Amino acid sequence: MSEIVVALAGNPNVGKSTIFNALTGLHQHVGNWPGKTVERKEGRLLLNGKTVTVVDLPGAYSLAARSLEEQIARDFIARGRPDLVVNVVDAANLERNLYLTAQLLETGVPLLLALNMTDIAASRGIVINPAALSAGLGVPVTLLAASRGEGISALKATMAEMLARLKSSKQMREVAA
Amino acid sequence: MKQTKHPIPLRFVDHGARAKLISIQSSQRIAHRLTELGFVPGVELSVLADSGSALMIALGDTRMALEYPLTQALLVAVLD
Ligand SMILES: Nc1nc2c(ncn2[C@@H]2O[C@H](COP(=O)(O)OP(=O)(O)OP(=O)(O)O)[C@@H](O)[C@H]2O)c(=O)[nH]1
Ligand SMILES: [Mg+2]
Repeated sequence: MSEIVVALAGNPNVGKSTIFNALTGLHQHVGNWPGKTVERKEGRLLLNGKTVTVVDLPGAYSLAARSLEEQIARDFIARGRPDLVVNVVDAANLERNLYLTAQLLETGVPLLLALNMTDIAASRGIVINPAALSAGLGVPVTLLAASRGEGISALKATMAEMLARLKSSKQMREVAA
Repeated sequence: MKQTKHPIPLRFVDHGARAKLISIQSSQRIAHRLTELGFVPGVELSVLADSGSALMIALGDTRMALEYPLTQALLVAVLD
């Protein structure tokens, strides 16, 4: 049985590590990416009785890989073949964040959009309709204010749902093949 | 909101003044990267500091240091 891998990806400073910490707690391993000086953080999370490995990717504005951090994120998504990518975006600066989201969608990797910093967005009167965003992008959307611990259980529930669905469709493909 | 008639390079915008990005005048490669970083025509920017070789730019909640040549490529309208 192969392990389930979920990667957290997003622009710099959007709250990826805050979410990573909330998901994995003390079950973390910090090292370096092979041959690189960039920190690699990996942790474990129990979802519906299954162990899921969560990887905290370095911040990236683009998958075109112009910085070392972007190269690492791109390579992991393209070659590491995570089962699911949680794209963390800043709800207070949504537009600029969606550039990377569009690129992630193009890779075809299963994607979940985690709209973080909703507390800041709300304080500025920014109202986001998650259902419309989800319908427009064709991916599930969950809301968080991760530094306050808000939205973490909903995120876990959506991750579990998606992983279960992805697993059964994979099994169906295998049976059909 | 009033804006200057002719776009000027961001390089010459006063500290603290707000400006709107009108266009990017550079090679395709540099323009593309600036766009990825959020320098999309229409966004509002301001200059926070000048190091003597680079400007510290505020772009939404993001702060970015851009070397002078790049700030020369960003054509903006000053808002007041
Ligand atoms: N107000 C608010 N602050 C948040 C939220 N989530 C994270 N932060 C804060 O935002 C800052 C950046 O969070 P990080 O988790 O380090 O962001 P990151 O995406 O891992 O950043 P990089 O690894 O540098 O790309 C920290 O000061 C967090 O406490 C949130 O939902 N609301
Ligand atoms: Mg981080």
